[in-house]
Amino acid sequence: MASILFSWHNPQRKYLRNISLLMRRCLFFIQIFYMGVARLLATSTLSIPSPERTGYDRPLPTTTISVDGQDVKDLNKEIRISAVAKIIAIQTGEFVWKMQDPQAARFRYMLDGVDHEWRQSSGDMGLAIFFYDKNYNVIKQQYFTVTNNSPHWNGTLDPKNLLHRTENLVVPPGAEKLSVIVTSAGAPDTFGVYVLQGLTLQRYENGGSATILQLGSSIQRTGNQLDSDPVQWMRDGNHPSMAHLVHLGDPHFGTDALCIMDDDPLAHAAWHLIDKYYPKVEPGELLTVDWNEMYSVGLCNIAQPVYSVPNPGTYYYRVQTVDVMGNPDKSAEFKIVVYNPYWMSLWFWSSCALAFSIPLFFTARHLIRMRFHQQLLKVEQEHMVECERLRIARDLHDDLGARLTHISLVSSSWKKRASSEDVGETFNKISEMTRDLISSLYETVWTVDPSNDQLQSLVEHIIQMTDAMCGAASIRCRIQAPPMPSDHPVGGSIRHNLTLAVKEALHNAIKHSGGSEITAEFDWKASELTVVISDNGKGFDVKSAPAQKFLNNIYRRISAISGSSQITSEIERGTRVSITIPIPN
Amino acid sequence: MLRAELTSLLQRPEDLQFLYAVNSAEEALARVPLAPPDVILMDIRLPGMSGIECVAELKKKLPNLEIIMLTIYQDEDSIFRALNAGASGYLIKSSDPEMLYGAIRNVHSGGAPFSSLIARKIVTYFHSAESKEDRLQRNEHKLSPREKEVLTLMAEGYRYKEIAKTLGVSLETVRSHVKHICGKMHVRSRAQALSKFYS
Repeated sequence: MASILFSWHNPQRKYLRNISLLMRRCLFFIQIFYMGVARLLATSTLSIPSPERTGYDRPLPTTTISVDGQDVKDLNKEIRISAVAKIIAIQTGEFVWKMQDPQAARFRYMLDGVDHEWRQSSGDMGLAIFFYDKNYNVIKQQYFTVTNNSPHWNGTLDPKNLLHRTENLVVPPGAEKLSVIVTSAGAPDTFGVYVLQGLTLQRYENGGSATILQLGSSIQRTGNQLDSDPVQWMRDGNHPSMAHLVHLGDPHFGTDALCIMDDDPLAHAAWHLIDKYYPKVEPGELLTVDWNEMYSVGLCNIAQPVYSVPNPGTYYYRVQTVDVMGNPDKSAEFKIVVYNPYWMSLWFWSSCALAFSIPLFFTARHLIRMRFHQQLLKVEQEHMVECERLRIARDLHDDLGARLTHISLVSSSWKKRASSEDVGETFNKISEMTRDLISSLYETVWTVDPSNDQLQSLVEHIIQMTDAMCGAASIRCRIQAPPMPSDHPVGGSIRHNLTLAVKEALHNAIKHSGGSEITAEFDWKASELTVVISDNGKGFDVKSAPAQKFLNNIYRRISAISGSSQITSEIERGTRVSITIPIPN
Repeated sequence: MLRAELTSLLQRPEDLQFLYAVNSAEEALARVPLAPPDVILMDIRLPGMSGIECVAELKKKLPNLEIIMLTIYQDEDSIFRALNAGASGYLIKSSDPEMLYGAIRNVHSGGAPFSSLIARKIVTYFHSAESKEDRLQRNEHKLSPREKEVLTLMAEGYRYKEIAKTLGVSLETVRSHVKHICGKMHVRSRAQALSKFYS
C-alpha cells in the first residue's frame, strides 16, 4: 500500500509522504494489535499449543547401499546391479547410541517393487496398570502397549480418530492399591505420539459395577490456566516435558486428554497417578478398564534391511522422515536397476545354443557316419576274410580234388589191365581210397562255405550223405524229411559236428549192422533239430567196448554243440541213434 | 591230363564211339551243332562260360541232346541247376569206369540218374511253382499224379527198381516217368527264363 502511495506525482509528494508514513504506522499498530489478540485467543482457547509438528529439522538419515559387500560409491546416480549379485544390504540411519547430538529422525523405508508397504521399526507406548502392596512395592505390572499407527490415524490430534478399548484384570494377591500409567518407556529409541482419553476403571460387585477411577473429558487442574498441571496426575520419566496435557477438538466442546509426544531417542516420558489418588483394591477382584486411545509409534533407530537381489527390473528405495505425529516429511529416493548381464539374456543364450548345437550336430553326424563306416568296413572285412577262406579252401580242394580224381581214374583204368587179381584189387583199393579222400575234401569245403549256413542246406547235405553212403554200400535207404523253415542260419560248428556224428552213426549201421535198410528221419520242433538213424540189423551190446567207444564219440560231438543223443540197440532188433540239437535263431 | 585219361577210358568199350573233345564251352557251342553227338560229357566247371550255361545254350539248339554233367564233388546244388538247365544226368568224375559207361548207356536209353536229394529238390521246385503261378501254368508244366508219386518215392530214397515194385509197374515205365519229369523241369525252367525276360 505504501508503495502504491509512493507512485503518485511529485507535486503532491510531500503531502502524500506524510500520509503514507502515517498509514504505515497505523498498519504496524494494527498488526501488533492482531497478533496480541491472536495470542490471547490462542492462549484462551488452546491448551499448551497443539503440539507443533516437530521433526521439521530432523535431517534425513543417511543411507548406504552395498551389493555383495561392496559399497556403492555414488548414490546420486542410478545404481546398476547385475542379476547374478546376491545381496543388497542397505543401512539407513545411525545407531542411537552413536549419536552425539540426538538429531535423529523417525523414518520409514521401502524398496518399491519388493516391499508392498512402508516398513518402519516400531517401538511401543501405551497404558499400563501397576498393582502395589501396602508399602507401595510393585506386585504386578500389566501393560497394554501399542505400536505403529492406530487405525484411521491421519497425523493430527483429531478426536474422531480415537479408538475405544476394553480390558479385564484380576487383582493379584497381596495387592491393595493400583496406579495407572501412560508411558513411552519401552525402548528408549521409541519415537512417536500416544494419546489417552477418557479412562474408566470399574469393579464388579453384587451384580453391578462400581467405578473406582474416572478420567473424564475435563481433567481437573491445579490452577486456572489451561497449561496448569493436572491435580491427580504427574509427569515422570527422564524427559518429563514430553508428557503433555492436551485439549482435542473444539476449544469449547472438545475433550482433554493425556498425551506423550516422545521425540527424544534417548529418553522417555510418562504420566501416572499421584499416589494419594491410587484407588484401593482387594485381591481377587475383577476389574474392567475402558479407555480411548490414538497413536503413531515408531522408532528412531537404524534400519538395516537386507534384500536378496530381485528379478531384473527397476526398483526405488525410498526413505522418508516421519515426524512424531507420523506424518512424512523429507524423503529420498534411490533408483536401483537390476539388469541381466548380457550373458543371461535370451538372445545370447539362444544364439550360443545355436552356435554350439550346429557344430555339435555336425560332429555327431560325422561321428555316427564314421562309426557306421567303420562297422561297415568291419563287416566287409569279415566277409572278405570268409570269402578268402572259402576261396583258399576251394582252390586247394579243387586242385587236390582234380589230382585225386586223376589218380582215381588212372588206377581205375589200370585195374582193367591188371595182370593178376591181387594187383587189380590193389588198384581198386587205391581208387576207393582216393574217392573217400575226395568226399572228405568236399565235406570240409562244404562246412567252410558260408552260403551253406541255412538249416535247409544242412538237412539236404545230411540227406545226400545218407543217400550216397547207402547207395555205395548197396543198402536200401529211406528218407523222411519234412520241409524245413527257410532263412534259419546254422553256425559252422553245428554243421560240422552234426554232419560228422550222423556220418559215424551211418558208418556204424552200414558196416556193422548187417541190415538191409537204413532209415533217416528228420524233425524240426521248437527250434530243435532231431535226426534219427535207425537200421534193421542185428544190433549190438551197448556195454561192449567198441560200442562204448562209438557211444562216446557220438556223445562228445553232440554235447560239443549243446545237443543230446540217445542210442538204443536190441539184439536182433536193430539200432536206433537219435540226436537232438538246439538251433536258436 | 584228365581229358587224356577220360578219352582213353571212353575209347575202350566197344559199344561206345568216342567222337571228339573240346576245351571250353565256347568251342563246344561252335563245334557241337555242326557235328552233334548222341551223348556229351561236360564238366560243370569250365574256363570262361560255365558248364551249366553251356548246357542251357546247347539244349536250345539241340533239344534232344543228352548231356551228362561231370563233377569232382557231389555238389547237389550245381547238379540240380544243371538238371534244371537241361542236363540228363550227372556223374562224379572219380567214379568207377563201369559206372561211367553205365551212365552213358543209361542216358542214351532214356534214363536219368537221380539221387533222392535231387528228387526232393525237384519236388520242392514243382511245389513252389504250383503255388505261385497257377494262372500261368499249362498242363504240360504240371506233374501228373503218377509222376508225383514216383518223385515222392524217389525223394524218400527208393531206387528205380523199388519204385517199380512198389507201384507195380515196369522199370522202363519208371524210367520214362523220370524222363518226363526232367523234361517238364526243363520246359518249366525255360518258360521261367522267358517270362523273366519278357516281364
